[in-house]
Amino acid sequence: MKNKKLLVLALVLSALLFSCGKRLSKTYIDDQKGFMAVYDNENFKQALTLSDQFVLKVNKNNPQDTFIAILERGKVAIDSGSYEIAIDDLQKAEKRFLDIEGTISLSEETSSLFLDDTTAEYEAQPLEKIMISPYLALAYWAKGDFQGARVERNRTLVKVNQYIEDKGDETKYLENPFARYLSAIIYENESKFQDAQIEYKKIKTVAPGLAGMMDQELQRLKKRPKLNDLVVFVDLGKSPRKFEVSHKGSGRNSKGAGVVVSIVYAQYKSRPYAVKGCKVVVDGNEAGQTTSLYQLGKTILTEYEKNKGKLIAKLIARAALKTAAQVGGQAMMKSNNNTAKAAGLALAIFGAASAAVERADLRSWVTLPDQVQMQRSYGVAPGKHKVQLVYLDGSGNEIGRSAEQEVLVPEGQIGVSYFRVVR
Amino acid sequence: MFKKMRLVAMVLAVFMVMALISCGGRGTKVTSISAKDATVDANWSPEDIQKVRDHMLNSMRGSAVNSMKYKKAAWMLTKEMANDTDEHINTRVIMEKIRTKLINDGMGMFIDDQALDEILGQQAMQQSDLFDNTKAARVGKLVGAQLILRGRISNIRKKGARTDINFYNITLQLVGLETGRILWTDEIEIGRRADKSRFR
Repeated sequence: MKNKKLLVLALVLSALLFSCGKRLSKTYIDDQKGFMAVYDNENFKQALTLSDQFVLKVNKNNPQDTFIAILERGKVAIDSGSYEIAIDDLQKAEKRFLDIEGTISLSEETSSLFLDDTTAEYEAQPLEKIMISPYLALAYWAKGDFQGARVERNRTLVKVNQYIEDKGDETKYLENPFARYLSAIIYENESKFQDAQIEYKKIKTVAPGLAGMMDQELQRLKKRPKLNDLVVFVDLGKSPRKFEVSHKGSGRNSKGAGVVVSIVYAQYKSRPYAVKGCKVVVDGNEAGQTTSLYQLGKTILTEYEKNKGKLIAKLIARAALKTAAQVGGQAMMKSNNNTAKAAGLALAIFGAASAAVERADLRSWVTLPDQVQMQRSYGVAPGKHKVQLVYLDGSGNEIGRSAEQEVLVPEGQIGVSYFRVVR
Repeated sequence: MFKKMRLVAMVLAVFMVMALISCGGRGTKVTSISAKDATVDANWSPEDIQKVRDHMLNSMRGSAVNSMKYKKAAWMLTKEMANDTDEHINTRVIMEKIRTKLINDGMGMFIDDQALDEILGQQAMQQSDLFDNTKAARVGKLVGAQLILRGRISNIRKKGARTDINFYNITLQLVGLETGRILWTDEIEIGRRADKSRFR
């Protein structure tokens, strides 16, 4: 009998050591720090190399985070100009997120209920799923595959329909002027001016601050213009990032027994950045200043607030379950039956330990910018052009310059240039 | 003694189960499948290519282009079927499958548009001093196309969290290069709905 109790205790302690060991070992967020430090310094090529190792490490240590890691690598790849890698990674991640969308893994739900949400596979938010397609469109276009860009434009609009338009006012906050503007210029490049007008009108409705700019585009399209334009997109700054909010403590239940109570959740915080706008220089001449097209950071914060209620309810249910396990276990320990005593001890230890090592789910797409800006030059001579950005701070002072990029504006078409500014 | 043996038997049973779980299911099992079996979601599949090919061929067989006048003419494929869908479909494959069937059924004589550059390059080389001109391929014998086969594929998709409804429309035309007249045209619609299970 004594041996049986010892065996049960040994098994429970082994299981606890294993799961708690995993809990206390390096997390997805820890593994991310290496390449993110290099990325924040805008050393995108090196960040891409480090992100390769990051994906391998994550796949080995935390396989439930593999596809969010691949998504990050895909974005780093676009930012470093490695379009083939970007397309491969973004499509891989997108496929997985869409495959698991709307489904439940019973094993993950169970482990998430007894441990925390970091044990479950990462499910991308609607905003993140929408953003994948315009980035793919940019990657295809930048590598010279306009047909691929057209397909991704179509995918963007299917997603806009699915996540935004079909759900009415409830999801209006997800409106994405960047996705729509990119779709509009792809339509223009196909001479589908009516479809482009539809997108500009929708931008005007959802982003009143851009109404003046959209009116100009609509006026221009009435004349079925000959295109020789250059559009520059700039991903500016750093999107808000999650941090852990923890309420952990010990108390006593009504019978005087000690319990560990834990409520741990993620909260978003904006990340500061210095560059607030850019001047665009084409072939050494100033072409204009960028306009903010999409306040992605604000949308992330809004999306979080909308989902917070459901998140807190889940946390409370989990805390209640763990507390009940401890209280139930302690009650079972008072039994005369030795097996029940041993099981009660195991349950109480498990409840307390899992509450103590609970972690908030800090995963999100962190290489996203805080805002997307753009600048358009009309009637540019067809051929190759050198484009450079002059970085401006909040007061409009010049604080740096980007490297030059060579962009091709084909005859009668639109040329597109993309920059990533993190600082 | 008996209790000790029961304990040992229990532990051994646990280890055997764990060993069977970890040892079982290794390696890769390979099974041949048909085009229909490859249709696992609402996206474009090999089965759809076959449906399009068969429909278009049947339509052409029953039309005026299935006559000696057109069988003697030189046909060519457009470079690509225009893709207006939200999928990266290799539309050249669809066109080539149709061309293969047309040639094998004796319905059309095709010029290989993709090989043209290679042919011209080879002919130019054979005309140079590097080659025995008496044995070189004669230039000026290339046949120009009189008919062009072109098409377009588009789709309408309605997607929910677990439902994917996809409707393809594929149109094909045979156009006379001299007059620009459409000598034959047809379309096919393929609809599919995929529902995901709630549990994965």
